[in-house]
Amino acid sequence: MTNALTMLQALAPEVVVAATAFLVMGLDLRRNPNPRAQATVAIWGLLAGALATVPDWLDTAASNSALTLWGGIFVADPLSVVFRALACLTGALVLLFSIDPIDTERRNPGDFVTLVPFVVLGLMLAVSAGELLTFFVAFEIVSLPLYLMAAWNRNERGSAEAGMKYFITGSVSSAVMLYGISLVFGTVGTTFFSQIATRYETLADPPQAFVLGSLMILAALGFKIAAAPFHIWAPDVYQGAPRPSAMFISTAPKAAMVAVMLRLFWGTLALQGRDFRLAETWMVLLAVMAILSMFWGNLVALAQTDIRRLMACSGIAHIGYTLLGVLAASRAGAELEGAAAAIYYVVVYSFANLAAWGVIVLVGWRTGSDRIQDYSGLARRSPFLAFALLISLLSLAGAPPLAGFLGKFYLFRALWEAQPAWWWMVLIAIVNSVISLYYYFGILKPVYFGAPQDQTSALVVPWRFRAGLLICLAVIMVLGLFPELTRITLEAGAAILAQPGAP
Amino acid sequence: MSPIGLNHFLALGAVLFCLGTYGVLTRRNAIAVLLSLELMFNAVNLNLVAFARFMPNLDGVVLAVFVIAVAAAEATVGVALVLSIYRNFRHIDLDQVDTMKG
Repeated sequence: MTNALTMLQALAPEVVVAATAFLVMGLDLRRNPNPRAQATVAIWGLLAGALATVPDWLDTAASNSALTLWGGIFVADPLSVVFRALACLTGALVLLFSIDPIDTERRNPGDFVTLVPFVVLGLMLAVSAGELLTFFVAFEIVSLPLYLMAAWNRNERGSAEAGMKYFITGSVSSAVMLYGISLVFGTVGTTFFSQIATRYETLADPPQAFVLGSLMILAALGFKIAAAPFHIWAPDVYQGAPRPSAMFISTAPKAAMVAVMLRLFWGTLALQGRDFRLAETWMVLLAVMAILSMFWGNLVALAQTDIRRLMACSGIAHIGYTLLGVLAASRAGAELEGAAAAIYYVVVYSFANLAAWGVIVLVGWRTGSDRIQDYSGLARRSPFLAFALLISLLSLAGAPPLAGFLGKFYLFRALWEAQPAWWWMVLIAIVNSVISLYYYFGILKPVYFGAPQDQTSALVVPWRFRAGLLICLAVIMVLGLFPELTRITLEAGAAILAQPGAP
Repeated sequence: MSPIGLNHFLALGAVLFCLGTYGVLTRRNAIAVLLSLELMFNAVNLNLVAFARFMPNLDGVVLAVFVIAVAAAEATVGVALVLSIYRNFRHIDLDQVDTMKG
C-alpha cells in the first residue's frame, strides 16, 4: 500500500538533501559565489534532512516494521533511519569544521561545499537500498565525489596523489563488487536482498559461483571500510588529502558501509535461511579481517609521527573491533546483541573521530603541520582544543565513562555471548585496546606536558569549531553516561530481524 | 562440437576481468590503468548480458545499462584526476607518483 503520501514520507530526507545539494550547486554558479553562504545553506539543509527522518523513525521503530517502496528497492526501517540521520549529521559537522579553513586557502571552496551534500545523499540511499544494483549506484554516488574531494587541492602534489590512489583502489573495489553482483545475480536470478537467500536455498545444486560472488562483495566492502588486508590505501589518502576531506572519508562512508554489511550479509543472507550454509565460510573471513585489522592498525600506529597517518591506522583498528560485532551477529542466537553493538560502536566512533579530526583540521590550518611533535604544548596554547582532543582520544581508546568504553564493552560481551569458545578473540581485542592506549597517550603526553615549540602564541578557536567540537563531545559523553539511549541501536538491530518479506 | 553456451561467455568474462586486474596492477601509465579498469567493468557487462540471454527476463540487461553509465562516470573522474596528476608532476607515470611513505 504505497500511496504517494507514504512514499513522500519515506523519501522526505532524501528529497530534502537532494534539493539542498542542487541548491548549493546552483549557488556556486553565480558570478560571485559566496562559499560561506553556500556552506550555511548546506548545513541547514543537512540538518533538515536529519530531522526529516523522524517521521520514519516514529512509524517504523514502534512497530518494528519497514516502509518499502517500489517493491523493496528502497527500505526505510530503523536501521536506515539511524544511519541516514548519522550521514546528515556527519556531513553538517564536516562542513562546520571545514568552512573556515577552505575559505581562507583561496582554492575553490564552492566545489568542496557542493560535493558534501551529494556524498550524504549517496550514503542515505546506500543504507536504505533493498537491492544490489540500487546499493551499487548509491555507493558510486558516494565514491565519485569523495575521489574528487581527496584530490580537491589542485596545486598540491600530495592531494593529487591521494586522489589518484583513492580512485584506483576504489574503482578496482567497485569493479570487484560488480563482478560479485553479476555472479550472485546470475546464480540466483534476483538482486533483491529479501529473495537472495530463499532462492539460494531452493537450488538443487548450489553453484560455487554464488559463494565466489558474495565473497567478492565482502572484499569490496572491506576496501571501502579500510579493513585489513584491503586497507593499504588509507594512510596515504588520509595524509595526502586536504584535511577536511580526510575527516569526511574517515567517518561517513565507513559507518554506512558497516550498516550495509549488517543488512546484506547478516540480515539477508545469514538470517533468512536460518541454517544458511554460507555463514560459516564468511565468519572465518570476518574473523581474519577483524584480527588483521586490529593488529595492523594498532601496531603500525605505534610507529607514526604524522597524526593523520596515525588516525588512519587507528581507524583501521576500529573497523577491526566493529567487525567483531558483525561476526557476533552472524551467530544464531546472538544476532541482536552483535548487530546493536556494531551499530553503537560505529556511531560512537564517528563522533569521536569527528572531534579528533576537528582539532587536527584546526591545528593543521593554523600551523600547517601534522607532526605529533608540533602538538607539543597545545594545552597551553588552547586549553579547549587540548580538552577536545583528550576526550575524543580517550573515547577512541575506550576509557570509561566515555562512550567508547561502553562501545567496546558491548562488542566484547556480544562476541563472548555469541560463542564462548571465541574467548581468545575477545582476549586479542582487549590486548589491542591496551596497545592503542600507548599511542593515544603518545599524542596526549606532548599536548599536556610538552613545552610549546617555536610558536607560543595562543591558538584562536573560531566559533564554528567551538560549536562543532562541543556537539561531538556532548554526544560522546551523553552516550557514555546514559546507556539507555543505546536502545535506539538495539531497535535498529531488531529492524534487520524484521526484514520485509518478498515483494 | 557443442554450441556456445553460458559457460563460454562466463569464461570470456573471467579472462577479461583477470586481464583488467593484471593491467591495473602492472601498468605504469595512468591512462593504461584507466583502460584496464574499463576492461574490468566490461567483463561484468559481458557476464550480465550473458546471464540475461539465458534467463527468462531482461533484468541482466537493465543491470548492464546501469553499469555502463557508472563506468562512464568513473572514467570522467579518472581522466580529471590524471590531468591533476599531470599538472602537479609533469608526467603520468604512476610508479613515480609516490611521495608519501609511512
